[in-house]
Amino acid sequence: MKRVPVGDALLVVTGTWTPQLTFDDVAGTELTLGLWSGGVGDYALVDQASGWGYGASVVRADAPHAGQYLLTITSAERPPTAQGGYHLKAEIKIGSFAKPLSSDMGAADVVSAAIASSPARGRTASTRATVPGIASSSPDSALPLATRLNGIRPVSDKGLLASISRTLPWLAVALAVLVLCGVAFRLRRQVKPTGGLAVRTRVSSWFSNLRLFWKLLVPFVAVLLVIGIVGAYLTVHYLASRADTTVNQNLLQRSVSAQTYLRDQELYLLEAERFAANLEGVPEATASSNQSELRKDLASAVAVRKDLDVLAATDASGQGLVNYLRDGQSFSAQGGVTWSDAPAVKEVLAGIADATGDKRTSFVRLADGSVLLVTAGPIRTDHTVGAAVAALSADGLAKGAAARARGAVGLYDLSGQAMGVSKTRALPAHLSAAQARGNLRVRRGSTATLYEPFVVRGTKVGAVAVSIPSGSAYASVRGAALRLGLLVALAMAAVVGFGVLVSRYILRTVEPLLETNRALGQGDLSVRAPVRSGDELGELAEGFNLMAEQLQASYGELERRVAERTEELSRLYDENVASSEARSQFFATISHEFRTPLFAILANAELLADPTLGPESPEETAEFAKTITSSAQSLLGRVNELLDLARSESAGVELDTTPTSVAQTWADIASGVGALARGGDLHLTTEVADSLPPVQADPDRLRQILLNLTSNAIKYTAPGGHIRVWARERDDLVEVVVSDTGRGIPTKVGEKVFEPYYRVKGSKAQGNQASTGLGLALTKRLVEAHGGRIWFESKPKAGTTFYFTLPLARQGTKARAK
Amino acid sequence: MIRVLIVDDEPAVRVTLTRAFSRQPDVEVVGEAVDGEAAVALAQELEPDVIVMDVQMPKLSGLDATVQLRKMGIQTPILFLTADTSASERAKQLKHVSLLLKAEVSMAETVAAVRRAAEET
Repeated sequence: MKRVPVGDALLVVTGTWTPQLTFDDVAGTELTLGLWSGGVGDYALVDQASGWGYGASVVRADAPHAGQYLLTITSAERPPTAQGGYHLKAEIKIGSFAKPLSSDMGAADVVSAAIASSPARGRTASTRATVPGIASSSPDSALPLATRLNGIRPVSDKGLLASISRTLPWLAVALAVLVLCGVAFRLRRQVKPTGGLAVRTRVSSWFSNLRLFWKLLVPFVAVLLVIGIVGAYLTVHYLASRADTTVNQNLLQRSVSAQTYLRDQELYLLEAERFAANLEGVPEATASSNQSELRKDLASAVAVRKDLDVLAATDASGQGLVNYLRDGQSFSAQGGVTWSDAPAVKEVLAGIADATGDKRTSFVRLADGSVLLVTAGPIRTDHTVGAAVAALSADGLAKGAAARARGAVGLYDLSGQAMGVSKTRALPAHLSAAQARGNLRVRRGSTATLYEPFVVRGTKVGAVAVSIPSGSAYASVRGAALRLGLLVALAMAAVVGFGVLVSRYILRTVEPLLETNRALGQGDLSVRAPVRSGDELGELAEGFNLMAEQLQASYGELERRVAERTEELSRLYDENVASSEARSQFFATISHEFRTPLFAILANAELLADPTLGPESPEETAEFAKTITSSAQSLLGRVNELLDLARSESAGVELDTTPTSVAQTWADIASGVGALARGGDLHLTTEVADSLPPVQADPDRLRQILLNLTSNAIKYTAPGGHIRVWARERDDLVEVVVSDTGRGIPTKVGEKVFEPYYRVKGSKAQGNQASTGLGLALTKRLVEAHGGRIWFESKPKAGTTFYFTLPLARQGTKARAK
Repeated sequence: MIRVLIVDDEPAVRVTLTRAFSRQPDVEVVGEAVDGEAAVALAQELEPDVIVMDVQMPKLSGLDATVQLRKMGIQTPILFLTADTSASERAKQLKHVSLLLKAEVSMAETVAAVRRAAEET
């Protein structure tokens, strides 16, 4: 049992006529069919060349490989010995293929008939798909070869394209990973560790924690990278497949050219042999072994067949009678060649014929290793008397085919051994099994090679390899890929650079905002962000500045208010403290001023009552009583003063005004005041004219005013000083002036001297004069109640001058003022 | 004899005190002063046994005069006769000092206080 590749099924069957595979061998042979889609059933296998068919059954559909089925040749009939024609009366004893085949049936007809009779009728289309495999042996059509090449798959394709196709996606992935890693590394330093957060949260927070610069840049780069790489990959892939197709088509064309050339040469050999065999006189000369006659006869054939390498005639035993062998450029007749070992000659002499007739062709390997393609035909008289032999060197064939195909061509026998190679550098001396089987395209380095079955006269005798340089086709792709890569890299660099610039520009606008923000956060409200653009960032900066201004304004307002409030509180506090001090001072004073006269009164009364301590004389008793009286009067005056102030505070001052003479009023108290002044060792000067017009005043109150001011002046002026009292008329007023040469009132005190209980700090009344601190307060109220005004001028240590005015009297009026 | 210096800015008080003390057989008024400054000067000059002094006075108050005297090393007992109820706090911080409120105590009591003060020395 032999297994034969399906692509060669027909050839194998055809080969049953060859010595390698006899017809009997075929029966029961298991054939593996490639691309068989007919399914299980009986089929006819038809030899197109001979028109002979075999019955074949597909017995197993469970193919060991997809599309491969086993065919078992169930029966076969040996064709009748063809004598001058074909008698195809055989019947195919399988299935319903009962239609007799005839010699005038074309290949397509035979196949159609087979299919029409096939049980797989319903699947004509799919069955027909197997037809090219059968019809491919038709030597006249290039199409079947091309169609057959559809099944060719490259087993080794190590070109640039393949490497690009394979590596580019990985390159892209690696690059993307690299970029991501770089970005991640860069970011790890900026992102705080988030601990045990979920990955998604980490990723989202990762992105949200990115600085704006990276946020703007990362998507740019990522998208660009993906687009660039995918685009480059697709483009290169497209270009590569285009180049691939170009190379394939090129290779196919060259291969067809080479095959055509080889077929031409085969026919040429056949024709040469036939020509020689049928030359007039040749059969007779051969039969009689007349070598000289034969040499002459063949010389004429050689003359017109200069391309041949060998033209010879043998006798019936295969011994060369005349051998024209090419030696360089010339032919020479040589002897001593035994052709009986050449299969073609042997078969011809043995009378074995094939489907194409009684002529045989085979390769013959010579002793020096060179190979000849030998075609032999019988030389007949009434029987075969010898053989005509024409041969071409395989090397020459290869070179010729190479010239035709414009590529390197190699011819190999079935074992894969080289028979003829046009260019030893491009093609191997020995083929691998796969290469020898054919239907294989190999591209290695910068050459592409197509291995095809070598068919001679319908028989596969080896393989034809056609090799062309593929470098140029791929060089353009390589160049394009390089340019494209460069362009993508440039574009990426440009976009990234541009992105960086734009990001920088935007961030430069943002940076001052950040600075301003930080400064504001630290409390510096005077900072302002520069407004550089009219876009959103500019608006942001403006808004920022507006905010800062408002903040500053409200802050300033707040500060001002706080300061105001603090000042007010401080003032209130001071006033409070001052008033509290003044009040306690007042009570101390009151206590002193009231207890002192009381002490004198009580003590003297006690002395008067005590018989042991009492007065010793009536004069003394009078003195005691006088002390009591003066002290009581002093007490009374102080009580009245206090009551007056209290009254003036609660109910206002009650006045009983009448036209009053200032001079008269002054005269009432002048003696008393004079006594006081003398007591204080002071000089008193009075200039109050009687001619002054009367004023509208309460005489008692006016007296009190004058007394207060003068006694005040006396109290606070050191001994030896001057007190001056004078009055004058001014407009409709009378102005009274009391001046002293006392210590003066400090400037800062000002109007406070008129406040109740107020005493200039550190001041003490002179001599035995006491003060309650109420005098000036009461005086001011009294003056103002009269509709007058009181003020003073003072120079520290130089003296003080008090002024007050009173309105002139209007006859018959009585004023009552508050 | 208890030699007494009287200090008060009010003439009526000085007169009355002098009257009362001069009628005591064991008391002698050696001087009168109208304010603290005069009191300090007289105390140095007269070296009295007891000083009867007001607190509230012009120029130098009784308390300040006492402080000055003590600084000078004069430890004369001092009897404050004052109307100022708030003076007692400050008076307590001084040595050999007692305080009577004017008009609250009789002359007899005042004389008795003078004697007590004199005995302290």
